[in-house]
Amino acid sequence: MCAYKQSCTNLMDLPTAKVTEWLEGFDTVITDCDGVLWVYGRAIDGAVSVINLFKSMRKNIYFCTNNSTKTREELLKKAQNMGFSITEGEIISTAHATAAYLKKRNFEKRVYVIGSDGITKELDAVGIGHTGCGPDPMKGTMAETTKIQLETDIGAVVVGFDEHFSFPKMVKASSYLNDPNCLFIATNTDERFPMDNMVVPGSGCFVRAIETCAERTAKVIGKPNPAICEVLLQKEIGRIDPARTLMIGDRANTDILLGFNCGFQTLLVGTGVHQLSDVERWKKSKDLEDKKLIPDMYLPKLGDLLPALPLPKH
Amino acid sequence: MLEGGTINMLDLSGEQVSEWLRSFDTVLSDGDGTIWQDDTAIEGAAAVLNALQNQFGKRVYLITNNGLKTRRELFERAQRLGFQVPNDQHIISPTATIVDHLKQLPDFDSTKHKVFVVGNAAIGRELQANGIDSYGAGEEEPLPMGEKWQDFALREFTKPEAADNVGAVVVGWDEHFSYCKMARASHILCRNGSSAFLVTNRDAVHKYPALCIPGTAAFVAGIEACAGREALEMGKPSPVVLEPLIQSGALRPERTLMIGDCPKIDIAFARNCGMQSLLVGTGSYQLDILQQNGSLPQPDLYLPRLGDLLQFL
Repeated sequence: MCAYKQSCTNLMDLPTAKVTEWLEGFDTVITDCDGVLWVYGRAIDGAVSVINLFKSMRKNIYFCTNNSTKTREELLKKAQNMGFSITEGEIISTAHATAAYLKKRNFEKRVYVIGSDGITKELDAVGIGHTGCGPDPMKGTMAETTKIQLETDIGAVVVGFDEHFSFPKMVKASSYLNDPNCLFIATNTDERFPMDNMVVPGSGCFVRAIETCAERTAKVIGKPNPAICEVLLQKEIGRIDPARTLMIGDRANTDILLGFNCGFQTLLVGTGVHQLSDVERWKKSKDLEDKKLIPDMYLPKLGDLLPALPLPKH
Repeated sequence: MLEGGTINMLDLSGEQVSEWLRSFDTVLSDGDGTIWQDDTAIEGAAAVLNALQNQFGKRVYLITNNGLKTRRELFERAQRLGFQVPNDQHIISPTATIVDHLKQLPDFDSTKHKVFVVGNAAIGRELQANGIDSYGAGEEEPLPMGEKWQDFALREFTKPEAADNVGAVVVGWDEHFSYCKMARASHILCRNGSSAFLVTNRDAVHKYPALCIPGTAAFVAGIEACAGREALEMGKPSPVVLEPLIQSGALRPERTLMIGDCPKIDIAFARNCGMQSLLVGTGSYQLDILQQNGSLPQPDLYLPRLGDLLQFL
């Protein structure tokens, strides 16, 4: 729907006929999870019904998350437990995409991981060796730390969300990255992890810390980098038309920007990070980069679409 | 200010140096790499600074980015190594600058506010010595065994005392840096818009032959990313460091000489504050390296060692 491009049109303000027309304009839906479908452990009102109705309208559905703490299998279980009818192949996760990225490059060394088992399990699944995850606290004095023995077969440092982030991990990562041939990959750069009424650090914080002491920039796999759905778009070439694909998200600098970067249509929902007030700011901004964050459409919550959706035909 | 390229002082005549000596009243000297290396004095440095002070009537201050010691501890080192600066007020260091800065902030009330420190114990000691209450300095805060980060966040950040009356977050070098500390600092900064957010200095990394050791800039970058705010730098090359001395009338930048060994820290500082600059080659930057790297801040003057000035004094 070119008419709505980057207009942030509120679907609640459109007559039903226009909403139906808009609904007929896309065949594929790629949706973010945290802040769109669920918050922490709870589905957002109406989200399950909308996604399942999209499915009954024969739209292709993909869940696309920057959350690197879960494997696709774990995300599947979580989604299914909430009532979403989805299969593992319809989940795009940054941990999975990171492992796929390394596999595609025929990576044969080991990975130094700053992250959780969401990443290590995906690496295991493609047969890539790694240093594991979990606590690595400062033991002893600085003098002892300077005698840390680094491993010799590390070919990549992958940084994602790590609740056990620590100084020794920063020492190791920056030391491995001192070799320019060592790859530096970030699962995502979300600065905050979505959490009700609370601000908590996201992967982006760990990435910024490592980028600073390594004096290098990470290659980011997750949204807004098209790399995250590259595999999908390549596999489904002919079946998925970017112009007839809708990206739904709550965070403009990851979800909406991914949509912009891939040529998708975009829908921002207000149940997560960014609000209409943020869009107003970007509309007034003179920075061209801010314009990319303006969605085509807006809804306070995904469930608000329900009245306009046709009931499933039997 | 001297125009043109860097002058090697060894090329100057005695008369030129005498004239130069009249162009400043105050001397600021860096520590590591300029006058000492940890607890060892660099030869001739003390003799020069003492002469400038005692014979030539200059006010001398030692100005270091070492955030691991208090002002008092640095003064004691200076005395041990033969530097005759009169008292610890002649030591300018990040912990001292932090205290001076907090004391003049209208929103900071040391009778009711405390400071959360993500950093080493010296910061806590300096704050305490100046009547400011703090917590976290030199302490560990790992994720408790068996807990997930959500448990930690929900338990800790729903408590009002996690942010109430915390008037500042200070970040320094922290070998016990952890996710929990990063989260706690971010929580405070997001809850309290008027809390001060300070960092000792912004060294990115210290490279050794076998290992890289992260600098304070890396710790603060993680917190800044979450909080969406930038910390105010309490070390060179930030001009904030010189404010107390300028405001008290103790020095005038245009009549001040800054001596140091690091272009990006010491010479940049001199330029940021409008001072004269002298680079010494006892750190990592000798004249040839300086000349090969035009993008580095170029000093007005150069000497291989500070002790080389002795022949002129």
